[in-house]
Amino acid sequence: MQIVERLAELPYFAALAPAQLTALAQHCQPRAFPAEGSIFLEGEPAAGLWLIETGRVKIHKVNPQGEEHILHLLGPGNTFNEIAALDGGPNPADATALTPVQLWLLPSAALHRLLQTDALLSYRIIGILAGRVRMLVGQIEDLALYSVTIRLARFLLKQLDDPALSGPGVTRAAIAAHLATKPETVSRALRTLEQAEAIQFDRHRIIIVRQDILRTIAAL
Amino acid sequence: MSDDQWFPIIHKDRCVGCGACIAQCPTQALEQRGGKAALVWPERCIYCADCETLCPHNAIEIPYLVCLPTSHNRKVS
Repeated sequence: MQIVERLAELPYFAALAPAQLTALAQHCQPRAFPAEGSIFLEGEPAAGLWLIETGRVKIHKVNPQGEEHILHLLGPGNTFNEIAALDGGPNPADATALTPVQLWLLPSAALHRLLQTDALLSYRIIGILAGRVRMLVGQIEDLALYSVTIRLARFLLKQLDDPALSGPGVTRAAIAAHLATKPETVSRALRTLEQAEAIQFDRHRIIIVRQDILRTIAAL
Repeated sequence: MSDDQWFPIIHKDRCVGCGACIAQCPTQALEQRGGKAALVWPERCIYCADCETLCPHNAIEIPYLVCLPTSHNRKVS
């Protein structure tokens, strides 16, 4: 498949005209990383805007004690590092492959040139950035106002709503990193949701048996 | 990923071969191989997650699939 066709399949670029896609394809560079491979580190100069073709990526920060907080879990069609690619600053967080991934890198200089000539692409990126800001504001609200059980309920519901997160499964450690807590706390919160009859465990499955109960617990 | 491919993930780089998980596994699914824990008998694993909980080095992780009752085969997490 030609690069243009592969880019056109990404929701991010779906509305672009063939000529715009061709211009884009001339600048996009394919990259591949193995599972657990580091795509970039916080503080490094930003290479550009990244697009996920296949696989899953986590955007995360690690504190001096080695504790991890996952900011975003991303899948095919998602993009990341828009902020650093646009403002020219260093990467604001680490990006690591959760599975083998195939990515496209649009270098910052090429992105800036495209934004100056392509209003549709500019609007699309502004929309993505606005969504990111909303998500971060939501995370701050969750951390400041809600218990781990409420945050876990919201996390589980979000898994159902986001097909881009389709992948090899979620672990207690990953959930803990996403909720800024400890795996033991996640275990207790999962038991609380199980006792509330919102979820059931069936070997490797966490089955949301009562979405209504889970939504009530999630305060949604 | 089919149902019979969901098993504990043992991170060999973190495992120090202390044997705690092997001693506590209720179905003897784990054994020592090359100085590290290994899931030698996967068909015995009942997904109790005891190994993940007690590993002092966080070398074992249990992956879960979040799903709805009517969509057991839909991978959503």
